[in-house]
Amino acid sequence: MKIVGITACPTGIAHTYITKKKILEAAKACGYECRIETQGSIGAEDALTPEEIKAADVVLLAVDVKISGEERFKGKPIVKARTEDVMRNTDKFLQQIELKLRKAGKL
Amino acid sequence: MLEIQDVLFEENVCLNLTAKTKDEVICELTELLYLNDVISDKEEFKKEIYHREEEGITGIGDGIAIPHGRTPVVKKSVIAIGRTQSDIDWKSFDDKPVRVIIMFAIRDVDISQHIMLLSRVAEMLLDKEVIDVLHSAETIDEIIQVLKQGGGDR
Repeated sequence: MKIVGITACPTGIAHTYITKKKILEAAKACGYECRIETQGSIGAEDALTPEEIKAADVVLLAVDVKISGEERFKGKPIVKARTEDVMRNTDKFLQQIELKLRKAGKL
Repeated sequence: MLEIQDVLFEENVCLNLTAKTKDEVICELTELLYLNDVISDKEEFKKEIYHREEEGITGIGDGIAIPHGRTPVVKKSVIAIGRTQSDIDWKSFDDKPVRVIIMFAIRDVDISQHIMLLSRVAEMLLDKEVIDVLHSAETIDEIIQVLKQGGGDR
């Protein structure tokens, strides 16, 4: 499974980056390809490219606040959750996404 | 390039807090920041800390919590570190109590370099080695050393 995603939190200092790291580590452990863009208080970093978005099976938005550029994901399967929901049990969270996509015949 | 010592000062670390509750922890660390001239208004700073607490969970697991406040009453962006002598009830991702509290005081209008450094420190708090040192360190130097090393892997 190829994941692209965005993390963003209210202050844009801590959870945005911690959640990113957690997602990347969990994705690696589960054997998924993953790219995460952070939208923190210093703006967007590691911005996703159109090619990466196109190649992705799913878009994971781990966000507590409004993000910019959501229209880039039009037509893609999107999973949206609060950062704390993704942080709590990240491996399981990603595996459930995979399961759902498989059931829907999208993987 | 900024280094960890630009945001982490010995005077803002207390490895034997007397606090026994979350409120007492926030009070004790706020007092420390006030005494060390990091913040100009204790009540205003605490208000911001509690505001962020209401927005979501700051216990990031492994006994560590990261309350943070971004407000104009912060004079310089720093990290305060406190360690308690007993378990503190604090909402966290792994539902475990907290012993190490990393409090982020963030200046309202700050240069991005500082913010990036604080963000990098936040990320490091997921590293097993960093977590272990925070729980066991007897001196602040041990903490600075491990955070310094952690800074190299990004």
